[in-house]
Amino acid sequence: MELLPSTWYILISALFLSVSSSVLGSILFHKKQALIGDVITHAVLPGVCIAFLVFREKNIFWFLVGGSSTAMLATYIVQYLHRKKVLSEDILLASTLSIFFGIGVLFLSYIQQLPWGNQSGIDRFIFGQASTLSLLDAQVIAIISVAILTLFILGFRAVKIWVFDIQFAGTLNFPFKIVEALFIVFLCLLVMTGLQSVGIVLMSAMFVLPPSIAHFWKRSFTGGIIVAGLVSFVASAFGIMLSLLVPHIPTGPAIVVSLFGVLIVSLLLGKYNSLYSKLKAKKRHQDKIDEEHVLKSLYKLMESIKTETVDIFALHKATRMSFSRIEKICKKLEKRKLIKFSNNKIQLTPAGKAASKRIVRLHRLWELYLSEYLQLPEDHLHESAEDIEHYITPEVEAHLLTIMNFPKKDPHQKDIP
Amino acid sequence: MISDWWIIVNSALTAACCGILGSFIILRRMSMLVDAISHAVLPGIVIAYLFTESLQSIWLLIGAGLSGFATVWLIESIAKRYNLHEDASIGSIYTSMFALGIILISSLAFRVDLDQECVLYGEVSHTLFDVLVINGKVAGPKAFYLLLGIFIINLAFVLLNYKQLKVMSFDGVFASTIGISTSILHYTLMGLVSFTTVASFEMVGSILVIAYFTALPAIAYLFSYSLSAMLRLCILTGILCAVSGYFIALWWGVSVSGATVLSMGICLLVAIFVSPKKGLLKPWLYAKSK
Amino acid sequence: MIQQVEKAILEVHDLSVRYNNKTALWNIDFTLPSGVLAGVIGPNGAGKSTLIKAIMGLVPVHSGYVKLFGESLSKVKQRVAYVPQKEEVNWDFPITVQEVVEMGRFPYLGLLKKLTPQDKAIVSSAMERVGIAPLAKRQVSELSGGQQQRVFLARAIAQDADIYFMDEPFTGIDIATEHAIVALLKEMKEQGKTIIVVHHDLYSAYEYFDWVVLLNGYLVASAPTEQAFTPDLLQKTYGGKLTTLTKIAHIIKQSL
Repeated sequence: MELLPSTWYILISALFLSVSSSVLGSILFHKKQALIGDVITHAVLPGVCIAFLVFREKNIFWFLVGGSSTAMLATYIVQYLHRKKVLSEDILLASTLSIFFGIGVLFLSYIQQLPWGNQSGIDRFIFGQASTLSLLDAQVIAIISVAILTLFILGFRAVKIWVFDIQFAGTLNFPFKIVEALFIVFLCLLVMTGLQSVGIVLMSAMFVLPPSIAHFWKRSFTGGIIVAGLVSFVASAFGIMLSLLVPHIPTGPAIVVSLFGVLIVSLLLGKYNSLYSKLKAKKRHQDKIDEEHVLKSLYKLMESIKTETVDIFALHKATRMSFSRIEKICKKLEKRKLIKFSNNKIQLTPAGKAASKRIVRLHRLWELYLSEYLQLPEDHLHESAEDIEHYITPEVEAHLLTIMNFPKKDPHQKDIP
Repeated sequence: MISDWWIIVNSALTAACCGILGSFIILRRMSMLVDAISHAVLPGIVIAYLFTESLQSIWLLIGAGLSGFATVWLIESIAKRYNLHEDASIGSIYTSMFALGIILISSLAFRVDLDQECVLYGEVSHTLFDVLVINGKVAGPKAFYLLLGIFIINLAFVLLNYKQLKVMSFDGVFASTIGISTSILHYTLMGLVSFTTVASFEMVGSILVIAYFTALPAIAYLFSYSLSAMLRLCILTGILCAVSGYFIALWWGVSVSGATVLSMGICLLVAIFVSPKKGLLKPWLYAKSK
Repeated sequence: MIQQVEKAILEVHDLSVRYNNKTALWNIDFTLPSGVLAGVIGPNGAGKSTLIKAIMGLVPVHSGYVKLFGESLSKVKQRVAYVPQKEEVNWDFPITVQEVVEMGRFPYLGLLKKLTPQDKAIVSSAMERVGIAPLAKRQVSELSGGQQQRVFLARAIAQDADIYFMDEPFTGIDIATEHAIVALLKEMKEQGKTIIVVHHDLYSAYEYFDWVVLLNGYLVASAPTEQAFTPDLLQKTYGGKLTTLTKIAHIIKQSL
């Protein structure tokens, strides 16, 4: 496929747009105000219409001014009334966005029936079609994005304080009110520029989806922004290509659906908080429990019948685990040189003996701890120890030994090995 | 003209349907969930429409109901299980569902007579074309009967569960300790919100309907001292806005739904100033009367 | 010092809760006799509210069980009343004091039944008892913190339960209201009700309660107040968290 020159600047605009909306979106995300973006995107409509009615032509500059003004007005109304505690925030957000949009619809229907109301220009703002992006539009996007990024990098420390600790910010002698105002102004301007390619309803997706995706991959603020920007750009590029190649696919929704796909993948496979990371942690813990259970049973069997070799049937009886599971665990333990395993016979290596002794020790230590410090009755100790013994790290073990002064006997008068 | 009456009646009925459910939504501080549902029923509608080619079929309700449920469930489980803040979860899911709907509409446009504009703003006049004919007599637009049915269902739900809804919205923890199954009520309420959104879809579109669900009850809330008064006032305000909206639309020649939302906006603005409970002018009015 | 009782009205058996808002409960095991006014006492983050929420089935339990009147909660729901913390309620709700108190009668009503004259009598006597009868028609949003707490108490009285759980009823109210409420609770106790109150102030606890449950993530004591208020036990309750429990809790949380 040969790319038209216009395709290039569409892609470059998408790059700018993705990065700057990810920056502002991450700030919203961490301030837990993701839905303010929603109000802004809906509230630009009346402003754009008014600009059109006044100047009677599609002029990106006046659209920018008009749309941003009504968006800022809406944001201010929400914040002011929230401060005054007239209504709760959710009502203010939902009512403001729908009423502003309603007024926009009203103007739009008025424009539609005017003789000079060739309103195709405004229509594009609502659903977005990147293929109609002009060079001028691309330049405006670039200018606003560069301004946002520059301000963000220059004021990074102030922004960070303002995002994460607004209380602390209030105690500093720094004009955070200006930070806030600038933030809203640029948010509105960016929304206006982004509408061309994404459209009204879906511009808010550009703010909220990338940071939500980043939530599954990075924990740091900066790292999150970088991931968000990157993902946003790749998805935008993909969406744009899709809408250029496949007929009848509008750009905005194509971008959002690509982002949605990435979100689903992140939800399932992400590094943090994802389904995979949870299952993995769970499986790792279950493996640890089973391994330690096998080791402990081996130790107890050898202790009670005074032999060096245990066969797998005795182990099966003692652990009540399936043969296949036991076999799997034994192979793992053998790899770690804790046991020798052949012909269904198991022998503990010296290292294995030490490890199994340790589990028994932890179990009995915890029982002793519960009985001494929490004064639990004797019959309640075992169950809790069965659970907690798998969580005790060497550090906690040392701590337990010290506070209890290296005890010799557990509450049931068994030796602590 | 007869059709003018139908517009006013349908518009008022829509307001009433949304208002009585919306009252509980805003009292439970879940307005943004309505925002999410109203956008997210779109794919359900489009898919159902694809099969039935009608905007007044039971399948449309079922399709939308299912996508509404799926949305609420997705939003809540992502927020809870994946540690994502609820705002972010709402924002991510509904925009995605909406985008999916738009893509479906545009890529199937050659088969489906449902355009993007209609989705966003609704088109009242459309609702008048499709009329119900009984024994060869025209008995009014189908949309009216659909809305009436939804209104009766919503009203019945609210009246039957009035006590439970009241306790749950005031004090959810207490509600569950006295054995009210709050999650069943919650999901039923959300399901009805989805149905109502679809039923009023042609009238007002998917964004303006949010105003019917939130701004309208908010006006009533600012003036009422009891839940039942709030519900009644909500219906009354709905009718008032529908009528005034219609006339504004008539005079200026603009969209009826847009004009209705405009009059809701004006009412809300007035309410915010003069509300005897929390109005911005309350200290001033109060000082004057002394 | 954990004194177990025969014929307990409440039995908490080896109850563990993990991470309900950062608090964990370790192996809580105690019983309460009926007809006591008991305080659940402990520092912030000791899991006091979590304990009664776990008893009421409002938070998931990791292990152990709870019995009320020797039965599981679901079988005796009508005999148990719970008073949540004030902050957990939507006080902006358009509702009058009387309507809130009437909610206490809802467990006795069918789906569509209205309040009977008898219910109404119970509601007004409940309001009478806590001294909010003159406020019956007032909006709850207009009430002071103390008045709101009284409304909650009246609702609980209208529930006519046998055992009451109250979550921090004395926070954010004036001292006069606090004393009035305590007097009322004592009166209820005389009538054979069992009342369990989450409370964080150690000094007043000694006066108010005849049984205390001392909590600090784990159960330090459950005994009549004079026996539980020893310097040693109080030191254990308020002298900081057990380092070991905190460490283990952190490790468990990481692995979740």
